[in-house]
Amino acid sequence: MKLNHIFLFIIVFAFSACGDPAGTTQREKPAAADTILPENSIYQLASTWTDHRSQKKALKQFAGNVQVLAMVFTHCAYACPRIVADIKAIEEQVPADKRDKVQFLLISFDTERDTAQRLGQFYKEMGLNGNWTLLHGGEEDVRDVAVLLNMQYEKQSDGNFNHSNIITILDQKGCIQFQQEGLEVGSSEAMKAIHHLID
Amino acid sequence: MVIVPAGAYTPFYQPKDKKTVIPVSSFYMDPYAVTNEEYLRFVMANPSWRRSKAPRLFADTNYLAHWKGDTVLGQEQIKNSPVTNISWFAAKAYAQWQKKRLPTMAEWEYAANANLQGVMDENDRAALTRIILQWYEKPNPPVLPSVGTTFKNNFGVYDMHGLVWEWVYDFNNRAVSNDSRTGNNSNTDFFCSDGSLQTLSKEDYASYMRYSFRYSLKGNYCVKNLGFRCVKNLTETKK
Repeated sequence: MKLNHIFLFIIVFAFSACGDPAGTTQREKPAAADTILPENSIYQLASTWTDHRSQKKALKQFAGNVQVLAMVFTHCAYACPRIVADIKAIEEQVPADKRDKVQFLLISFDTERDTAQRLGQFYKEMGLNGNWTLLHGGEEDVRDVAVLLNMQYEKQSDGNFNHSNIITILDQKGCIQFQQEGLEVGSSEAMKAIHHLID
Repeated sequence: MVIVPAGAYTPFYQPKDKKTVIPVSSFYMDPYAVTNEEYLRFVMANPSWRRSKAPRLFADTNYLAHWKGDTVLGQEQIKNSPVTNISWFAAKAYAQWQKKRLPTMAEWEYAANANLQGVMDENDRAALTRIILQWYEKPNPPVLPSVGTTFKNNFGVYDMHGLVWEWVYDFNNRAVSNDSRTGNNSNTDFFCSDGSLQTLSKEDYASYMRYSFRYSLKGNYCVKNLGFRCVKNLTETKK
């Protein structure tokens, strides 16, 4: 059984629409927030989420900054803490004067157990800071995001999940600019992608 | 819709150590795949899903490519053929509009595993396998046949094989059934899932094809022999 294409270690996406500087032009139109999003922006998903501070969030509220994004579940004993560690390693390499341009987003696929409270607890346990947001959402909304990120996951009968480990870098408009699959694969390629977006 | 009785789905890819069987509750299923004409009605009612309007994120450039225009099929004979060149997001939106949903992989596979109508011996798979393999051997016809033209199964559902591939809700379920969280697995084990799983039957080339195709999909892919049908929960319909 060969499904090598699914297990590509590093996948770089270059969506032309997203790099288009003309797309940044803000037009004064009603509902402009929707219409200015590029065609490949995942912020087109209209779903509502709850963050680790129990605040309601729409995905397009994350526009404006680079987002380093992963999908996790907090009961995960193995892969997810390592993914968080990998993202922290990226965070440490963001230059001090650019810290306000890069944010970190963890979306849980455990719609049942990862409540806002639980995510708040995880936020503390992992020693995260104000640049990080953890999101809880509905089952179908989580599935939508996972599909757009090419994340595979499956709930097991014990309530835990098998899942792929992918770190995604979204540009300021919510387009996927870079993805890497795997744990501890290093952050140099991710940093290149980030620098490209913030320098 | 027809009622598919409760049963169980046996995943094609199995962990080595223990056989996994997933129970499936009874549900309503469309006896036919959604047709071009039916999908046209959806597009008329939901202009944001017109070919020229749907964002590429949700439907790639092949979306409804076989139609003549945004709201024009162009060929009378495709009216009752299954709609194809349809993305997962589009199929899901249609189902929602119908107050239905896409089947899970477990539901779809379980329904598709039912034998030909009238074949009461579940172990006699020869006729069903023949239909599937003959379909795989044939190139895609220029015009897809109408729904209901292949075979009916013991659940009263038509064309589960032999007409088009069909979307399932959780097509991105992880193929891996081994536990990736315990720390006992090496990275190699985790990524090269093929090493840790075995298929139910090595001879089941048809299932192998179907699962491989499914795992190669992305949510915005529109493929000319990939359509869908809807299901509905039993409880929601009873009033």
